[in-house]
Amino acid sequence: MQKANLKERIANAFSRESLEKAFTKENIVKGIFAVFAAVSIIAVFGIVIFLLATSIEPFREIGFFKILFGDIWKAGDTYAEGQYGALPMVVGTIVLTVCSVLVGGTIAIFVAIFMAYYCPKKLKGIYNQVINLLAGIPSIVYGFFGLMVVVPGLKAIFNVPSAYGLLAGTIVLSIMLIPTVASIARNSLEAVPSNYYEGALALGCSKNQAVFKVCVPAAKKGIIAALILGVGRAVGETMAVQMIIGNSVNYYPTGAFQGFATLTSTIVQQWSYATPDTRNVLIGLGFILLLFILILNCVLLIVKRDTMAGNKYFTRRVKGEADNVKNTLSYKKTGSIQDILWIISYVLSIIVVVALVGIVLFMLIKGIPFISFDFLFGRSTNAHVTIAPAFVSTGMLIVLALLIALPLGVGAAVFLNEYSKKNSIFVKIVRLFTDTLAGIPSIVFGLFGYIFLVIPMKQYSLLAGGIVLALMVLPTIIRSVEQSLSEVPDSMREASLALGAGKVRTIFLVVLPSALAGIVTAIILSIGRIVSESAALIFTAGSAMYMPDNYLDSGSSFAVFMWAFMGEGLYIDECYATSVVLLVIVIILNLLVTLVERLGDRDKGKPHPILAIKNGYNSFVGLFKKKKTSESLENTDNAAELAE
Amino acid sequence: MKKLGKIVAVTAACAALVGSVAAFSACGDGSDKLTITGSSSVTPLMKELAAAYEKEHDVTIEVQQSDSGTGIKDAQNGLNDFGMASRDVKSEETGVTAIKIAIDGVALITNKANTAVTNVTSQELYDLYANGTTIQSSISAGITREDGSGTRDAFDDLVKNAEGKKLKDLEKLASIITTQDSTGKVMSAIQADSDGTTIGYISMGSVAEALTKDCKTVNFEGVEPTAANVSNKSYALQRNFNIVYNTEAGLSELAQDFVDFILSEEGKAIIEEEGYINV
Repeated sequence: MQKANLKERIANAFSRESLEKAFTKENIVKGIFAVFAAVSIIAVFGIVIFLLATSIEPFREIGFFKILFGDIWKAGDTYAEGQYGALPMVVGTIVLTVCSVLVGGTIAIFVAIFMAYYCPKKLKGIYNQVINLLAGIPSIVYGFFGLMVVVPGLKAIFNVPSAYGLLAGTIVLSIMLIPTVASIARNSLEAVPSNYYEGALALGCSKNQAVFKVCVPAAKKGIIAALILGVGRAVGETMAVQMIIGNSVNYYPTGAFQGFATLTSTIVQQWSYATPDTRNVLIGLGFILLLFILILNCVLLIVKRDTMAGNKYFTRRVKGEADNVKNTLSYKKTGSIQDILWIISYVLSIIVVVALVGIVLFMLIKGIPFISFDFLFGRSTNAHVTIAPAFVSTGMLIVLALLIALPLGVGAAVFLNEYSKKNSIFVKIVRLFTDTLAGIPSIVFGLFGYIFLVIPMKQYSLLAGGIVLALMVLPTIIRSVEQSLSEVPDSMREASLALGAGKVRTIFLVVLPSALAGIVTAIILSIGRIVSESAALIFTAGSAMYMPDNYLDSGSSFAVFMWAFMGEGLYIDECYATSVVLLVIVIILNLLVTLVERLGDRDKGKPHPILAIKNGYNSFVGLFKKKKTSESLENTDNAAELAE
Repeated sequence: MKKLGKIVAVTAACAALVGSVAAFSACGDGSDKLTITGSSSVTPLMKELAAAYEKEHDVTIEVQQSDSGTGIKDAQNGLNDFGMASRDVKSEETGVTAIKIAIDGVALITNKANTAVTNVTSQELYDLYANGTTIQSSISAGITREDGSGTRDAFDDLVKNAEGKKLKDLEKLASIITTQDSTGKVMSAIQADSDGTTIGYISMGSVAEALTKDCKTVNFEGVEPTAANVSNKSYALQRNFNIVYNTEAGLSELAQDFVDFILSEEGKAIIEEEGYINV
């Protein structure tokens, strides 16, 4: 009986009608969006599997623990000839990360507090720009600044024979961490309900007491999450770090001025001269790095879950009840501590601005004299190197990466926001993997691209570079588009559906056009990331300084040009000049983001964008005969009008 | 309507971007092409030679820098027209023929702020790099290149102490020695070292550039790093620049012509001009 039933059910399930029912346009589109959403999951697994597959050989030949805990590194022609102990680098990575997160993280939190509570309204926009600019400066520029300014400066101040090492690394990496940590910490500070602050003031706290005793503890979890993200950034940083820490692969960071190496610096420095066996070991180091990041992401997940579970704002108060009396007694005293903290946050915020101005000015002064029309756009030959090829290569990389990542990212965001139920397991998994993908260091992406694309294709190519970059910007696009989709009011969707438009039509004609500003912002942010990327590209697109003919040629973006100029030693001036070009591009992109956001805000009260298209369309159609198709269009328009 | 205008503007911007990319891409002409890969030390010289050759002939020469090992391997696998190596071909690297095109010296440099040290001995260098012993109470730190670099190979092979022990034989260098992974970074590091207490080494072809970047050369064992001294072997820190091609496939007609050009008087003049020494 049951068997027959089952048979019938299967037959039913595959009958024509039910198939037709299942494969409606709506469902097919939904399926496509779901697949797009799953791309991040596939990408993370792909990276882990490909890296592991290549590193298994050295792990087997040498022994995983011998690599992880050996303390002599001397690359040889084969596994047997060389010594591959990575412990000093692992320790170096950890120590540098801890130091720079302690220093940079502390500064960043104070900066975030300053931005959220103390920054005068007029300055807020400008200060935000400063932080964004710090975030946008390519790491290779930071490294160059460190090599030419920070290291000699420390050497002169402390009168030591060599200043490469932990102190220089910590200083530069701290500056690099500030924007990441500060902007996330600031978001969570601003998410603290304003009645907390007002309540504290009403109870007689001074502003400083309200900020430091009520608001900051309330945002504790968000700040911790920001710090963990900062750790991820520090662990994966490559190009800047390798110029300033001395790269002595066999030494532990035992002092402020002892040269040492990190996993990333060793991979990038030894890559070009490595024999195939050594290369595999270096990929193994990349895998160890990836393990670090994955563990970190798990920690982040736990922190986030805690935030969800408990009442995040009141845990502290319950705990503190027992020593309330003591608190009351010491309240007056703590007031002065908060005043000191307030001063510190002002001072640190100013220092951050000074650091930024210093870096930018240094690059401008050194670089501007060497910029000429010819250097920018002249024909590049062996005798006369110009950066014209960089415009083309960078453009080609941007176009390819966005062509791949934009549909994927928007599709995934649509799926997450429009189709899936909130808190469904699939959504949680996609979010988790998107965050993981966002946290993977660029050098690991580079190694993945090398194994996955360069080796099978037997050449470095812009194609490989573009694909890897697409994966790198995918999380940015998903997050940014998802955010702006969630800001589209539900009434618009409801109105559209009520008027008989299908879900697909609603999404494409009502929801997505309303989120246009968010999508454009995502594009600009992605371009910024692509322009400043170097580590991933060196391993995938190579570093040829020639005009690429097509996507199968090797080519260099601006940041890679800088790296190559530095390498040959003949073009130090050109290196500065290129960095000026990069800075200008970053500044323009930052301004564009602000502009788009402003326009988006301004347009909020305006008619729906689709109306504008329709108006144009109608006036065009009106010239001929009114066609039937515009009727259905009108439906959605009315829906939009209703929503307004 | 404003929105429409914006959309048109965005589309136009995209079109302009794609268009300019296409226009730039079209610049590349379809003339004959030579691909040369290998040693980053030979690359600057090869680029100069290629530039001179391109002026006279309608060819495009692509010089891709990687390392000697890759250059030789690419030649074995027929992936290039010929490879560049800043060392001699090892006995296990079979199936390729090498042509020596130049000799390069490894020059020692410090910041010009250091006026005290004009000459160092092999023993002094060994003591600094192996044990961190200050040279002539003035140079207390050193910069080396990363593992596998041809310049580092030459340096580690040629610097030895009184007992003939080479830097190469050491398990690790002194803790005061830091690593930079290119000639340019060594130069920048020395330039930034404004009190002149750090020593580094670079290819002799880059010395002219280094001198404009606040660097000065230091004599080795009393011999000045000049072309003449490298040529008559009195300057010991030197190595050969080779080009390597697949013995079986031989050189293509175009490649042969370029090699002939390198070995001609004109090519030799360029090699000399760039600070390297002719064979």
